[in-house]
Amino acid sequence: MVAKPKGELLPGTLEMLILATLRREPLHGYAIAQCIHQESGNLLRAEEGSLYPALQRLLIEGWVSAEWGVSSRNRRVRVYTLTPAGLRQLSRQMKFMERQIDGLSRIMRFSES
Amino acid sequence: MKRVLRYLRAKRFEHDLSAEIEAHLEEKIDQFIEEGRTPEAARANALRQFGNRTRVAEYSREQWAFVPFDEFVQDLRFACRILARNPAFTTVAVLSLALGIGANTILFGAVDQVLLHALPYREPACLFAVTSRSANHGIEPMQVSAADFYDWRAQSHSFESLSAYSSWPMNLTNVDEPRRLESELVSTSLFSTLGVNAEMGRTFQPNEDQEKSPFVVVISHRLWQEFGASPQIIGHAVTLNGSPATIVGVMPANFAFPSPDVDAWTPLSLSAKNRSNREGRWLSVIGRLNPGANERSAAEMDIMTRRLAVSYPASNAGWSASLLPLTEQLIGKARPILLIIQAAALLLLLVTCVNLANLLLARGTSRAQEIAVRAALGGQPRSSTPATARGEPFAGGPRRKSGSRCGDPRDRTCKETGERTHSANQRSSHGCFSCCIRRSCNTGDRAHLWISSGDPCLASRPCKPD
Repeated sequence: MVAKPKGELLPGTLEMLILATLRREPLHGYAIAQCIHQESGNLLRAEEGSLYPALQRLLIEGWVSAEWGVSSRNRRVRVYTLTPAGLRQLSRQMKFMERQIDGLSRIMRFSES
Repeated sequence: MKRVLRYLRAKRFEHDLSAEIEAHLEEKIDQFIEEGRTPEAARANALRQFGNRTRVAEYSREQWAFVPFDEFVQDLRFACRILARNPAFTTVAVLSLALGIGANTILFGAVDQVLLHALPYREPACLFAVTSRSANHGIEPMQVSAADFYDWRAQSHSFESLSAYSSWPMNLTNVDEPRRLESELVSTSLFSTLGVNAEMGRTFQPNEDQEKSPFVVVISHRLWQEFGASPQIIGHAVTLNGSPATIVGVMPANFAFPSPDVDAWTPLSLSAKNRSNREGRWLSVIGRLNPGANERSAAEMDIMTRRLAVSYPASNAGWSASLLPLTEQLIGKARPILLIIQAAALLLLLVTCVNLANLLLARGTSRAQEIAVRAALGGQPRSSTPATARGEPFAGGPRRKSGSRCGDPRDRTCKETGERTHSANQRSSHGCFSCCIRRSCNTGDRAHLWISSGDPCLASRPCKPD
């Protein structure tokens, strides 16, 4: 088993982040990792070891589709695209995540007061 | 179903995945180079950050692969390989197993037929063999005289029906090949007593045991087939003991009363003189008890035989009758013998298994070195099957080709070390050897340092060649 990335917050976060990243444009694996890293203000780092298993899961669920394409460095890469089902899943997961964060922050506030 | 489909596409998944990971690394290396590192440093850095490639690939595979099945196939393949490589061991194992299993199969076949299958008659538990006994003639049950049989049949209330039979071989002539036929004289009620009907045609009618009634015969399935298995056999005339007889019925193939070699049944047709003969005890008697008549039947037989003994002291004094369940009569003596032989066969199988287990254990010991190498190269024991069940007493499954896991620099160290040490220290004890490799694996970053400083084994001196 690959160790869970230490930066991961809650279960399902990585999947959600991947889906969110792909909403804007189709990307290949390495670009997804880069994007997550940069867009999070270098706070989050998708561990590459976990990225591919997660992508496989998303493929199996039908939330993303994969096509062979060409990267900006002109290399043959597999480009992932968000499917409509993936979009629905993303909004579901975001709602779920918001509620979790809401709950967490309430407890944090409660413990401070 | 989905899983199976996915599994069938496994090859494609696998190919895509490895190409994808390769591209990922190349991209990363390119980026590092763009950031100003040397190609070597970029590569090392990219590999390190990525982690164990093989593990990532494996973990990704596990998302869609049918892991238990996969492992099972791997185990199977491994077992076949090992067996093929050790023909002597394989021969011994296969032969001893074949012997043990074969003996058990044969014996269980007999036990199954004799002890576990109910007799092929209607409610066989109600069927009883009725025998005569006399203290003056020993304790063995004896057959019944015709007169006694007819008296019993007339007087008894416990029996739904009571039938007699006696072996009476006859000459079959008027056919292509005349022969001696194993046949039985039977009461016309015998078939209804047993509760078996003819497969074709009919069995006997009650009045067909009259002396003047036409001579009819019921034949076995086997004899019918010898006659050409024609459906026109019913009504066909044959000559038995010189008298013309008409075939009226064919019994089913599994009907074998009282023994499997009987080919024909004819009515027990006795003259008045023979009917009243009490001296000649030559009939076997079988009866079907009325439901619930079990308890009073013995008492009733007792009363009847006493009455007969009083009426006919010359022939019947001292004679009684006894009932024995038909199953007991047919297989009574065979049961303990069969069970003992079956137990012996089971023991034989057990001994076979123990022998094989010993052989496997011995092989396990001789494979210790191989297993140490596997363990040292990163082979993992399976979770699903216990290691010992695969002859691996302590570690190191046959799961991966050795070295296939060595994606990251640490593992690479291990692999290279392993190979080098293996060739260099062939004579060194394997325990020491594996400890040396393990240490180089476990210490992680130091192992990485070791790569540049030379052989980690020599550097740390954990093992000395003998």
